[in-house]
Amino acid sequence: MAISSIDCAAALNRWRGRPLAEKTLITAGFLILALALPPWPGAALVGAVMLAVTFGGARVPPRHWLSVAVLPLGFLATGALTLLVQLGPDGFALAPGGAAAAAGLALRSFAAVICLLFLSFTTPAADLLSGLRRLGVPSEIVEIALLTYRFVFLLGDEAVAMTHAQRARLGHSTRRRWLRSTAMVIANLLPRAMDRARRMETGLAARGWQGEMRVIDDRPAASGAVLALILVAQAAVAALGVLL
Amino acid sequence: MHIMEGYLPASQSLAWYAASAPFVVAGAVRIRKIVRERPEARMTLAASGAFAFVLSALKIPSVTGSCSHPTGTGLGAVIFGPSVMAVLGLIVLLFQALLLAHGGLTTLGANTFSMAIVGPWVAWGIWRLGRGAGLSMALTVFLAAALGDLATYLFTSFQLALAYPDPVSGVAGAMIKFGGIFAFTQIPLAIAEGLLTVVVIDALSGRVRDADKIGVLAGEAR
Amino acid sequence: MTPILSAEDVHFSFPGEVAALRGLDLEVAAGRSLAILGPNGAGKSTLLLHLNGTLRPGAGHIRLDGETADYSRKGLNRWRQRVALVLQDADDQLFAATVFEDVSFGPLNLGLGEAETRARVEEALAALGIADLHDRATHMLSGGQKKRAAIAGALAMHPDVLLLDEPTAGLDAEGAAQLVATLRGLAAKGVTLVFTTHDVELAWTLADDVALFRGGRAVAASGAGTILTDRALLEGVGLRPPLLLDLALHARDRGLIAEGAPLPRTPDDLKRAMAGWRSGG
Repeated sequence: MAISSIDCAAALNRWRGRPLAEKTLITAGFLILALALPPWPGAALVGAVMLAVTFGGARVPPRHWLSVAVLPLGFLATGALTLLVQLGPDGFALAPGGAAAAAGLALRSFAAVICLLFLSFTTPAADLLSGLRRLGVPSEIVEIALLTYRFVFLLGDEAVAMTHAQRARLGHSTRRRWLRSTAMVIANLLPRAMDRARRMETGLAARGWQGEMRVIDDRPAASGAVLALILVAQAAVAALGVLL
Repeated sequence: MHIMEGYLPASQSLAWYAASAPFVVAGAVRIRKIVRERPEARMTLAASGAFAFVLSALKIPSVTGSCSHPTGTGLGAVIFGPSVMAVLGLIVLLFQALLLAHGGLTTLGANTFSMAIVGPWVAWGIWRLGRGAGLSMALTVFLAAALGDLATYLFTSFQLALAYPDPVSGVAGAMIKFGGIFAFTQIPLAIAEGLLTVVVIDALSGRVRDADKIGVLAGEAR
Repeated sequence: MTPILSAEDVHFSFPGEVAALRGLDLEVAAGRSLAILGPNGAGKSTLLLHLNGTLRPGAGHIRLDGETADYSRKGLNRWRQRVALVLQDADDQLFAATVFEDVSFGPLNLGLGEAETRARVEEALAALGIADLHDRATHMLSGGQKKRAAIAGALAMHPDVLLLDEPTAGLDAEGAAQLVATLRGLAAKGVTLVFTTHDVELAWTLADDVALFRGGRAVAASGAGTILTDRALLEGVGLRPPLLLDLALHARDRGLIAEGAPLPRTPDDLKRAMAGWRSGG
């Protein structure tokens, strides 16, 4: 599982079995609120609610969650920094109101990241893709996306193994060697990816594949009551975010 | 360069989705046609998408000594052509958001526009120009990959500047700020990726059988 | 009796490579288990791909129920419904997100309805002992679990013949032992098995008949007991008799196993026989 620890967590968490529609409605609704409401108190409220849902409801391991959340926060820090200064004819100066703008942006983005991570940590990407099919995305595109998902893990393992083998033979000892070694991994990986594609074709043809990839989707359907409950909660957060 | 989740205001998130849509739809129509004629192209395209994803997870050393990640934009555009790349790019960006927390769902439209549309079209255009002008293969590949990355980076800076214009100097000033702060990572990345892509294409064309396959692949994708 | 599958003077080469099959003759008897035994590069896997119509002979014929194979789209579909193939690398055939979805693929391709498909999937998962993996993500399975899921995907199509390429390759000892037990169970239910291997022990444990391959041809084909005891023949293709069989023959020579009694096929068989030696004196 070198390529994605999130995927593992998504497959094992407590809410894995909950209907897809519930989890996507929670994510989409609160994402929209995070963007649409004023950062304070709206986005802050969204962030707080979603943290409670993530850790209290789905029981996502906090340590793992933090290690993933650090990455977007790096981008946020750099990006928010630029709001603190303004560029005039005399060069850079501190922007009046810059701190407030940066804080607002940080609050909004962070709330949105919390929503995204909730979805990532509770819902395997394959479940989401099968949901896209129901939303009317052409089945060919969904199938390609699903196969991509399958191949990501296979190729990822191969790339990791090749990189380890190179490192064992000092392939990364200088920057020049490193660049060349990485290029060799990439150059080896592409034909391997194509071979995999061909072999998968043989494997599927043996099972009577005639160009359509149908499987039975065994995921539970959402209940209207739960979805209504989620909408009510979101309306409440929206009202609080505007009125407070 | 991925714009993180929630970074763009709602109106602009929507606007970039709308701007990407025609390219993605055109790519999807093209892919459906390819797949209807050759069902097995599903596997080839999926393997290519996965390949691009795995590339983005490999670390490469860049000139300043920091580490960065190749984007595969130039390589993909040269091999598959830009229209298919819009869809493959969107799929890869979706997985990067979900599996790695790179980028986001609200910013998926904006990221698709800069990385799966602007980058590949620039790389592909330079590739065609360079080959037409009789430049050497290596130089053309380098320029296509490096300038494709640079175009992506500049366009992302523009997207950020549009969202957060400077209070005094407006969008232009903000673009200098955003462009300047990300230049430290993005310019070395563009150079490293250019070099990397040259070595990759070189290694690929060194093998007759594989090169055949790439040719077939490129043919079926375009 | 007409063999269910047969190859007649089949020649085949991959483009730009030396010939993989050169005048191969082979018969697969219905209801029996056949091991295709031989060193690497003998053409074993290439043969399997011919037996379900994935590859087409350059010269010669493949026959199904004595009739020349039909390579039309319809013919291939009927063929692959009866003759299922399990590839060596299970990752080459597991494509769906969960085990249940993946196993449902074959039955749906047969045009079965959802209820019938569900029943077939559950039945196949139970037969392979992986009912508990129902909702597991395919990329998170162990090697042995992936192999079982791949076989379940083939079994759910209710084939008459199951082709397996190196079924135990890459499995740990426990995974291999479980799989062999499962395959023996399938054979006992009347499924015709054809599997490739270079492992003489596996051939002895699982096969009724053995075809010995070398250089793209079957150099000998007969009952397992005949081929696997022929030391000179085996050494000719770089193999040796199975250890278990060697010991059993030794015991028979010394009068511990009666002439004409079945020879032990598994270590457990031998242990049971040995228990008799002690009590019998």
